[in-house]
Amino acid sequence: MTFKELVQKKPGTMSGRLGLVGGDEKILPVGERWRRDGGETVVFSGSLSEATSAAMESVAKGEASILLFDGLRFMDTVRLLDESVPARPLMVMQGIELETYSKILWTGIAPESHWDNLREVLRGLGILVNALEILGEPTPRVALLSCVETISPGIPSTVWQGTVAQMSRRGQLGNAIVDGPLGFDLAVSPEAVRDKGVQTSVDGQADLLIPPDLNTYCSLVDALHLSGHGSSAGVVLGAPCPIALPSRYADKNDIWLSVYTAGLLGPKT
Amino acid sequence: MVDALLVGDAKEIKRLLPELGLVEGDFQIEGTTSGANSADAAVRACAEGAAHVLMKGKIPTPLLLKAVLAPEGKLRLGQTLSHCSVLDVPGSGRLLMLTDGGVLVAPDFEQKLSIIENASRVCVALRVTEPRMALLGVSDEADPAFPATLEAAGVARTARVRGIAKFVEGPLTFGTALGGLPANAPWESDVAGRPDVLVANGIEECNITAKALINLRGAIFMGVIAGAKVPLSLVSRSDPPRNKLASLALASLLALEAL
Repeated sequence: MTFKELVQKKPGTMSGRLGLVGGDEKILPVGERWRRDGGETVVFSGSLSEATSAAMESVAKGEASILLFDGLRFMDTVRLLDESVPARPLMVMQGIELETYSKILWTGIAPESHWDNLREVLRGLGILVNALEILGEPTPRVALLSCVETISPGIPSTVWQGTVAQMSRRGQLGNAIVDGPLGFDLAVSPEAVRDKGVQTSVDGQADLLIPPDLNTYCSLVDALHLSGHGSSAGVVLGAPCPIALPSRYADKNDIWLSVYTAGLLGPKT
Repeated sequence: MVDALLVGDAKEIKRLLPELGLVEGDFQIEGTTSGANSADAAVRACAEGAAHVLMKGKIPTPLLLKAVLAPEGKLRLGQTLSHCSVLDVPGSGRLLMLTDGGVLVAPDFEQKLSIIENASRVCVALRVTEPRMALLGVSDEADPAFPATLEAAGVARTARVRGIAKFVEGPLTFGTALGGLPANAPWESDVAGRPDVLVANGIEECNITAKALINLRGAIFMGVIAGAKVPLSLVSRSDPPRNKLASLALASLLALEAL
């Protein structure tokens, strides 16, 4: 899946009122484009905390139908959103198109959740896979990233990764092809898979990368963004309305793609 | 660049050399019967001064590290060992080190100080005498919600106070460390935007991020383990020859510093 293919799809939630949250001016042109297309916009300003609170209140009243955050303070934004939706931890997902990879490479995690609980891992994985299916990838290849390719008790995340991979092999995870633990090279490089002789169903063609922890997610996404990427989009999953959360490195097009992707996913994805 | 002592299956080595256009007489060959024997023999050669660099070939890393870390191997100096990935990222104009993606799974406070110390030594071998180092975090602020950011702040301060490194700062996100402070940041940094070294929170973060830059950005990679009697050149089996050669060059520079 590429962004060119993605924008051919008709979003479910691309009308109504778009809430612009945060002080960065670079999100304002997206509001102008939204209004040109017949929608309305509302700006939530003030501190990030005040703006987030007002935006979520507006969503609860049925006023704003989709939100766009400026993405300058990623962790603060996610935490504030998470506090406003206490019933279930939110997920974040970033998709990046790179010259060196043939499709959008998505990366996802539950920022406020600990991935040492298998139930939480499976819940989060289910949300991410469902999102990719909605975006048009019926059998997403999911790489559970690690620094090794074998289950090692000394690296605790490899234990749940191996368990989840086994569940995938037994058909317990629907159509998703999930494998791990996998080194990054085995997730994105068929040549590395051949060179190392590792049997992996992902086969170096991952659609979705799931890092073992939040530190890795943040560094990995930043590294991919700073790698001369093409287009990108960031969304929050599990909130009462579609939420676009582009990277702080996003340009005008990336911000629009984030809104578009959030719209495609619709509410309560 | 180096004289090589090849340790392993002697018959197989002798078969491969002419295939690679190399002359058997140019190499010392020590025949062994298993991976464990190869690791022990290579470690012994380094401990006895017969070799100044230990380079991993097609042997599982844990097997080699077991021999290196064994007390009877005599390669340990009583220091913490850590892995340094030095990357030449196209267009960046400078080398960037990520550490530790190969030895310490979840380094504690003191081990992070050792990682910084080892990274400094590698920087000196690369003629970077006052490296700028960033301890990575999910936020640019020490945040009680994320204990690792508090530790990063503490390690950075301790490293400066103890004189382990002059320019060290943390926590910084990967993006801030490389891209610089946001325009409206209320503070200044002598590291953000021009780091030589990024210290990760754990082995997975470092390994995965470095491999992302190698596999999707075409970075040339040099891997070395510092802190032992001799440097260990450690690369992945899937690394192309240029990375293996660059790693050997880096380890040789480190070895020259020690002579």
